[in-house]
Formats: sequence, structure tokens, C-alpha cells
Amino acid sequence: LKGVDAAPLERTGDELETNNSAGPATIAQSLLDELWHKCRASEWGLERDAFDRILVVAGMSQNFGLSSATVASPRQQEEFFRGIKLADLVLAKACAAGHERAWEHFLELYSQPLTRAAVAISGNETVGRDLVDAFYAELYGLTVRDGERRCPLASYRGRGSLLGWLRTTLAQRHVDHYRRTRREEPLEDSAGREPAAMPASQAPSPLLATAVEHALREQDVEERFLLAAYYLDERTLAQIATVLRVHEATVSRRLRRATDAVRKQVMRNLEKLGMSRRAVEEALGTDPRDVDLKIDLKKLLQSPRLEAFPEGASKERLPEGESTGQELTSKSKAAG
Amino acid sequence: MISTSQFDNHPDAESLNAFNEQALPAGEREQILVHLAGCDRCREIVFLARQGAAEPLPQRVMPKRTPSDAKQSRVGSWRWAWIPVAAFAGMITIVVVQHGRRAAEVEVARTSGQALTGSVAVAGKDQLKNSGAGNTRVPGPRSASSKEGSDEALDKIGRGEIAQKKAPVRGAEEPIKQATNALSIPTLPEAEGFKDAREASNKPSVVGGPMMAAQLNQQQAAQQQELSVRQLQAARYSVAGGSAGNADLGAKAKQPAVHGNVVAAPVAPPVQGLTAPTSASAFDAPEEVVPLEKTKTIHLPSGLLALSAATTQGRTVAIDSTGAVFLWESAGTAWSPVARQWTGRAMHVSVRDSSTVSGAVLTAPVSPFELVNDNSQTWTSLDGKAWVPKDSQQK
Repeated sequence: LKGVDAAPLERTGDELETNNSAGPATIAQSLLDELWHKCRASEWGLERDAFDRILVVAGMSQNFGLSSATVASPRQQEEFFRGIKLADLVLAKACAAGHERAWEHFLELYSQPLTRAAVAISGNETVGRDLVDAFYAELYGLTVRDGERRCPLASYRGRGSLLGWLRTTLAQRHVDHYRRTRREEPLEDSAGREPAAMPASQAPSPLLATAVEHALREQDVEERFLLAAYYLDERTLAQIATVLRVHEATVSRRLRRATDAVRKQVMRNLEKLGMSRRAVEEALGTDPRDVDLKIDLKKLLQSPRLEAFPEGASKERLPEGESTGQELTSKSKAAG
Repeated sequence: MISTSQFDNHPDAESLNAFNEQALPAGEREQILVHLAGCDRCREIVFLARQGAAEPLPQRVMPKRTPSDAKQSRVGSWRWAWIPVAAFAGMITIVVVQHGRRAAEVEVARTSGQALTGSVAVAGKDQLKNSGAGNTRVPGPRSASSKEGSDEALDKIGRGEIAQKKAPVRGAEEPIKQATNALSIPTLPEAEGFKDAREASNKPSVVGGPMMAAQLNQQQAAQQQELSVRQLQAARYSVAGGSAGNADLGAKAKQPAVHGNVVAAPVAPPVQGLTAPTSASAFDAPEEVVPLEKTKTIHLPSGLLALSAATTQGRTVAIDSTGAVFLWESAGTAWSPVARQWTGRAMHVSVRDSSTVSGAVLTAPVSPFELVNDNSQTWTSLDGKAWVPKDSQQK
């Protein structure tokens, strides 16, 4: 099996980096037998020795989910294999190794779901089909990096479902493609265009910017994610609730609580910075978007009893998934 | 919060997918959330991946319809239409049959029932004698067998068969019951003879009606003549009081004869009829009772036997089997034909007692003759000569 040990396409942070430095380990034959029968990889033509090798390499590359200094016991090995999507992992590794029957099985399982996911992600059938075609080419290993054929499936580690991984990878490719291509503008359109100068009267107060930044940093990470997704990305409550696996009402309640907390904290921070109460209120009247925080804090902070979720907030506000954070940033600046 | 464009390293698809699928441990999820709170790219990826998971439902692929399929579909859509159609046809059939039965019953009540009312029950003379119960036991309510008999009779009529007997009908029973109640005649044990007669009357028989009237012939008329004679005989024996055990009944049964205006059964109904007086001498009797022995031999000027006859105030009107009407007056010596003043064929003649008020029988009534044709239309006459439609008279 070639390419089984291929590194992920993207580097991850140190805290997310998997440990590939585990020492050699052996897996009990009984466990391998049990997993072989459970995986049912023989149905699509995988040989037993190939299966064993995939499991050994996958376990050792992740050190069976343990820290690098720990040697996994047979029980820990068993728990590791039972905690991952083993069948998906074996299929992905076999495909990455160029197993023909595995590819047939892969296409049989994921061809149509992947096409539908690409269309849904791009919001356009033509773009979606182009996206999935390019992704297939990448999966087949047509991409060569440093003289070596690279297959994204080799980076799959079985922590989530293979279909979910494929969808996430498709979304990555789509976002990256959009970010690359949106900067390509005709010269005649950009020629002679100068950035508009911000009026001096609307220049944000440096004290307000500092106060808001500190207030947001003091918020819980999940509240920050909520504020960013709702106010910056303009996601709907339903979308946020789906990602966080909570109810929409819970998202609404937590958002209202977070906005109230941010407002109070900003006022406290401004007073700490030496501003009077009246000056604080005047400062809060400034459009927060000018502070380059990309947050609609004007509405957020001006009203003491803020209606956190105006009518229509739950509507889909990102047509065809074409709004990205940078686009929103430019919109906010243009509006300011 | 800072712009996410400063992030050089992003979580890989594996981690983002695991975050989406809630497959990360708490610590690692926290790290991903920290990254997501500040990285709009990864937030976009996460939301797009969720959007891709909510796949639209595949469109149903419908096979192309060929013309034959379309035709089959149209036929198939009418496949079950026969059920309501059959139900509707069944309902129509039932309504028609019921209507025919009812019309036949009404016709019987009008044509033959009135004659039976006057003469009450049908029974053999010998049977009456043997039973010793000379009462005027009337047939009971129509039973199911009677109704079935009526149905069968309808079928016979439909096949063109001819009636041989007449059955008592509802229209004939009700007046008799009313008269019985008015005279306080107790209900007596049913005599064998009457029982047999009632059973015989309940047997399937042919009832009257337009179809029957059209098919009556001479032979039928003779049979009906014989039947009427038997009815009169039964009535006579009833008036006579019958056995000693029914003396009281006989006394009460004689009460209608006090009226002296109608030759009728002891329990005379408001509408009374008489069938076939035999000769002029028969009407000489003060009580105007027709000698029953002579009714068998009465011959009208047409040479036929009388089919129906009624008498009152010394006048007798008779109808032969061809529908010709004749009048016998007490002062005359022979039957005189009556000019045809009605439509259709005269079927029945009777004497209507107009003195009955609220069930009570009054004296000295003026009883006009009443003639019914084969269309159940009625004409009335005071003297038996001049006939007017009943409806016009009422107006």
C-alpha cells in the first residue's frame, strides 16, 4: 500500500497535530480477526494482509489516539479502533493506495451523495459539478507535489464519517477557489479607483476600539463563536443551531445574553479608561463598524433593551453561499 | 476579535468534520471553537459542510408516458366507476319495483277491495256452517306472506297470467276494522273456515290494476261472479247470527241492516258495495237484501253475467264483464242500458254511504252510485243514469 502514510494536505496547529512518532506496536491477532469480520472489507475485494497493514499503519500513525510518549496497550488499541469509523478508514486508505475494487466501491457509495453535496455547497449545479469533478481528479491522485502523487484520502483518519470528511473537503476547496478567483478583477474595472477616505468626524475612537476588543476577549469562546457567526457571517439561528447541535431558542437566548454582557463590559472598560458616563454614551453612538471589528455593534450597543434577533433573522441571508467573511468586511466598510 | 486572515494554519478537514459531527473530545472541541471564533474561512467551511449535508431530496424520475400508457391510465381511472354506477342502477331498480308494487296495491284497493269490503270475508258456505261461527271475522293484517304473494302476483301479471283469486287488501281491511270498533264487536276466536279463508286470501294472488283490467275475459268474470256470491253468502250467514255462542255478535251485527239503505255485511263500512243482484224480485225486499241463490243466475241484457252491481233506493246498477252498465229500477221490468258517460272500461260499481261522520253511522243517507273504471277514476250518480266525475262533483 503506497501512500498510506501520506501527510495531510494542510498543516494543522500544534494542538491538533497528530502524533506520528509512536513506536512500533503490534495488534493482537484476535482483534484483527474481529475487526476484519466487522469491517466486511472482503465484500469489496480487500485482502486480509492488506487490511492488517492498513490497521497497523493507521494505529501507529495516530499512536492509537494517545500521546506520543505512551505505548498503547491492547485494550487501548481496541478502544481506539472501536472509536473510529474503521470501515470508512480502510476504504479510504485502500483507495489512496490505488485499490481498484476499493475505488469501485467508493464510487458506488459516494458518487451521488458527493455530487449532491457539491451542488448544495456551491448553490449552483454547474459550479457544483465542476467542483466535484475537480475533486475527483484530486482524489485519484492526479495532483503531484514534490514529485510524489498525493491523494487527499490518505489524510483521512476516521474520526468522523468519510462522507462528512468528503463534504468538508469539498467545502474547503470551494471556499479556497472562491477566495482565489474573487480577487481576479478586470484591469479596466479597478483602474482609477481609489479607496474612499474616511471622514475625520467618523473616525473611531481608539478608546472604544480597545474597550470593545477587551470586552469580546473576555467572553466565552462559544459566545464569541455565536457573535461572529451571527453578526459577522450573518448566519441564521437555525444554521448556528445545526452546527452546535442545540435548539434555535438556545442560540437566541445565549446570543441575547452575550450581547448584554458585551455592552456592559464595553461601558465598564470605557469608564476604566477615564471616560465619563456621558462620553461613554456618546462613544457608543459611534458606528462600531468603523472600529474595524466587523460587528454591528451600533445596533448591539445603543439600545439598552436590545431586540437581539430582529424579524427575519432566521431567514437565509447568504444567497448561494457566496458571502464570505472578507466580502462582508468590504460591505461593512462600504456602508460605513 | 481579530480578522482571521492572519491565521496561517487551519484545522484540517478531519478536525472540522469531527467538530461538525460532534466527534471531538471536549478539549479539542474548545480549541476548534477558539479557532472558529476568529477564522471566517473555517466558519464558512463548517457551515457549508453542514449545508452540503442537508442534501436536497432527489427528484423523482418519472418514466415517460406513452400514448398506450395514457390510454390505460384513463381506463384505469374508470376501473372502479362501475361500483357507484351499479349501486345507482340498483337503487333505481328498487324504486321502480316499489313504485310498481304500491301502484298495484292501490289499484287493488280501489277495484276489488271495495267489493270485498261490502261482502267482508270470503268463506265457503259449508265451512261456515260447519264452524258454527257465523261471525264476520275479517282477515288480519297483511302478513309477509301476503306481501310476497303480491310480489309474485306482480310477476304473474308481468308474464300475462290471469288472476284466479282475489286477495284481501289493506284498503278493504281498514274500514272493516273501524266499523267493528264502532259496533263494539268483540274479537272472536278464529273459526276454522275463516282461518282457511284467510290463509287462502294470503296466498299469492293476482291483484287488480290496469294490466289486469285489460286482460280480464269472460272466464274471469264468471269466476269473480262466483266468488262474489260466496262472499254474499258469508255475509248473510253472518247477519243471521251464526251459532248460539255468537248470539250477541249476531245481534250487533244486525245493526247495520237497520239503516235499510244498503245491502251490506253486518259490519258495513262507509263505502258499501253489492255484487250482482240476480233479478228484479230480489230488490223487492224491504231490507233490500239480494237473494243470494239468484245471484248465480243473473244475466244482463248483454247476455253476460254481472261483474259488479250495487243497489240503493230501489235502483240497481250492474256492470257486465265487458264494462257495459245497466240499470234496474224498481218500477221497471227489465234492465236498461246506461249511456256511456265515463272513460275507459267500467270495472266496479258501489254505493257510497255519505252519512258516515267520524265513524258513526247515521240514518237516511243519500247514497249515490259510484263507478270506477279501469284507470281507477271514479264517477258518481244519484239515479244511476247520469254520471259525473267524482272530482268535478267535489268541486
